Amino acid sequence: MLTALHHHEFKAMNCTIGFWVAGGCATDAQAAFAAAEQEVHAAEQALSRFLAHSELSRLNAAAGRCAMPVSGLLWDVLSVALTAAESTGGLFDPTVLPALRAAGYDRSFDDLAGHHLELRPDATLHRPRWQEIEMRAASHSVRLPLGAAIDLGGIAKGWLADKLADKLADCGPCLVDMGGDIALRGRPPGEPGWPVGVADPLHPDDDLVVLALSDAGVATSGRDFRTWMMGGSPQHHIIDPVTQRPVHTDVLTATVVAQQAAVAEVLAKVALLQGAEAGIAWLGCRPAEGLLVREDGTLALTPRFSDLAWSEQGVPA
Amino acid sequence: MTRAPLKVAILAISSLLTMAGWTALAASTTPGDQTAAAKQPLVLVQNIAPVTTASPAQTAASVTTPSTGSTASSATVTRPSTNTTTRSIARTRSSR
Repeated sequence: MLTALHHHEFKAMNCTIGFWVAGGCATDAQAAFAAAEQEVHAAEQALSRFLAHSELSRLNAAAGRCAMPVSGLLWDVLSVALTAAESTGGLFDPTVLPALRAAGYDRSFDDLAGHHLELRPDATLHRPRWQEIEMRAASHSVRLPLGAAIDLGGIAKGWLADKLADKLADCGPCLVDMGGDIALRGRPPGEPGWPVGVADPLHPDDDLVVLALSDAGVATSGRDFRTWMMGGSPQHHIIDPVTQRPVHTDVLTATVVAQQAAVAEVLAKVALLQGAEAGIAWLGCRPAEGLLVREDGTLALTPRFSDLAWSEQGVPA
Repeated sequence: MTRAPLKVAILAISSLLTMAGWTALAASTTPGDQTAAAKQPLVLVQNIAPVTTASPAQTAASVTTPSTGSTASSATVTRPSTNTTTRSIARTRSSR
């Protein structure tokens, strides 16, 4: 039986965002899409580090001074980011922004692409600061230590994907795609899941595999796209919290399926940081599945990742 | 002095997150201790119905693992053929 798929797509947060709902009333779906899009735009205004007057930019500018009262949105996303930092022993670090700026990523990627930047002061002057951030629940305020600055880009998209998917689920099975960070609730009737492709970083128009996913989150972290040149050397946006420089591993992209998109985003980034062998072993100890693409094009995956693949023939019940 | 507020924050967000989701960040065991059978995959597609013409996806590239890799913590595979008519409605990739 054919099921109607309702779809809405727009640009925000420097990426293309898509919503899908399977079945139900088109009018209800469109109304839910409109409300969800408004939430995305509001989140961008609050959480973008590229908007000088965003709430996050004001918080970063207040580093070293008094605690700043923050909105529930910034409080929630920052709390999630710090939880992720704590849970990964700092391998995920929301305070690498100074190192990211030192590497040249000090403007939106649309403005950065194609530029050849001059070398800047040594990024090793920076160090992780996430443990020094003060979250003051009583006053709902945050104080950053002097010199610290936060980037919530990736985890904010994952967090929003989860939040919006929970809301759109009132309309039916749904998928929220925040530029590659994807949250799914339910599955289209009669289908094994939502068909989600894993992009091939070496052939960007192709999928490496199509997954059948439901009630999950999937995210990919990679150094295949947001790259630029500085001082004659290629740079990218995945910073190693230890060296405070763009990481050099054998992994080009890391894709992780977890229960939530925000969790998948964090796990993917940390797996990439560790390299293929250690990254897969690390993922193997967590309730998640992952696929890493090495620079030479070979793949490394957790033992049951292939179970998630959309079956071509299906398996008789 | 700076640690206590962070702990408070972690407790405060417990209502925002399912514990199951965020325990994904913490190791459930040590590398090498866990077999594939012991893992609890988040989404297991089993006993699925055949893909019909009404399916959002037509076919999918298959990823195969070496037979010796069934209980290993990792497996290295060759790249799947891309001569399929894969059709996904969304793609996960590094942020665009």
